Amino acid sequence: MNYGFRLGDYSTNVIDPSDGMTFWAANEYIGNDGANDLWLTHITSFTAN
Amino acid sequence: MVRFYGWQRSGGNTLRVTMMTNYLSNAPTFTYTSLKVTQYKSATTANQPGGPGPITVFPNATTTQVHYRNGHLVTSMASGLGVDGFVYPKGLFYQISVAHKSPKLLKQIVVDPGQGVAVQMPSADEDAQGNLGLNWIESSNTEYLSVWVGSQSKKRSSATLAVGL
Repeated sequence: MNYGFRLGDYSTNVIDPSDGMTFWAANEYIGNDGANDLWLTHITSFTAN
Repeated sequence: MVRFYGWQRSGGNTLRVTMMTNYLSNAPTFTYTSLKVTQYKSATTANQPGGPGPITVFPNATTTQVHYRNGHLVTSMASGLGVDGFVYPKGLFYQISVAHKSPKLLKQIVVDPGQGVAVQMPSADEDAQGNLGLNWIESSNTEYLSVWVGSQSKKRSSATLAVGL
């Protein structure tokens, strides 16, 4: 597989201003079918504690 | 007072913080501070199941965002390190104090899941207590690009985190 293209530039991780504790992260991923299941978006929240 | 964060696109061993003052005047002033960090350089390779492939135009050794929290700048980039000859990008995260006149590097964190694992599109922020939240994707011969998150306590210092696979 030759990646002659941009793999994507955009992700983010930002603190929730309502509590100052919860991180919200968004990023891209590829599903189990790597040939067709391309560039899905995963959004999750987590804390450092 | 406005502060920016800079980098060296092709690689290097410093990060540059730019402070702009008098920014509403006709003669704004820019003050540059270079902070020494672990050497980084554009990486060349990211694998996925199905075969390896070179990254031909991926602009690693660049940052895409920076947050200002608690008097700190927090930012990240995916770039190669000397540990594997700058082949696979790793996740590099930086926390810089700009609370005083001279910016100071507080912490640098490396996310290195292991040999042959590429880390890309990292991002980071800092919570109200000063803990860092990290986010990245990684891939290898056995792992399609997958999303990972992690954190590091304020109490911990610079570190290499062998997380992931």
